[in-house]
Amino acid sequence: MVSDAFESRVPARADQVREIRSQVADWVRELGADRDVVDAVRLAVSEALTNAVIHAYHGREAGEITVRGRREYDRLLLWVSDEGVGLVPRPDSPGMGIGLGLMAQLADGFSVVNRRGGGDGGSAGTVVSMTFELGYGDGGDGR
Amino acid sequence: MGADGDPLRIVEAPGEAGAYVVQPVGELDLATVPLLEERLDALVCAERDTILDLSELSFLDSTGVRLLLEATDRARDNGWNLEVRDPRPLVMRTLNLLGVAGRLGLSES
Repeated sequence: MVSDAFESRVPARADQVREIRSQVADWVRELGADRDVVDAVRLAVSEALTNAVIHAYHGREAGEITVRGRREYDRLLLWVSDEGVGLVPRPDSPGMGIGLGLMAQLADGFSVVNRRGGGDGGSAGTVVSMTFELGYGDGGDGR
Repeated sequence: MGADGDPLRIVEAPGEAGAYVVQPVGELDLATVPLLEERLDALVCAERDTILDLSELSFLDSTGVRLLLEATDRARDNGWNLEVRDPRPLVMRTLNLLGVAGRLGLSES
């Protein structure tokens, strides 16, 4: 029986993105979500992972990205987090706007939070949170 | 589509009326964009009419969209005829969400 929880932790590298978005999409499909939701999740996770790969460890040794998922009734909660430099505006760098805007459209709820509390009082990384309605029928409980 | 094999490979062949067809097969994302970018950079110099056939593209995210926009903009600036064609419904939905279908010469639906 498919688990209500998903977790994966991977190096923040471009070659990891496809595998993780596929794993999350497969998990969501097994939860019985509508195909449109599976596709939306796959794309949104790809965007969040890509942002983390490009920006999270900018100017630092590359770290890891954690992806967590949880099904609660007919809603999917997803978190993509890193322990990097935090989300900051960088006028000279490839824009994040397009990916963030896409995630906001794809997900039913979306937020980005910079965590504080790093060693020198600086950033402890970024958490992207997303929620998706799973599109179950009336009275569905995920079976 | 299985997880085996390359995430992206590029098939190229002559097409109709002397045009050249470039067909990315697989998924276009941060890891694979450089492959297609390299081919398109080489072809802009060759100046052949080129068709970018998306019919075998199973996934596209914003990194791929950015490449498509840069390539078509660059083609327009250089008088190079680059036509994007036949995106699958999933890819087309992504292009519509980003509002770029028209800019790529694809009719919004």
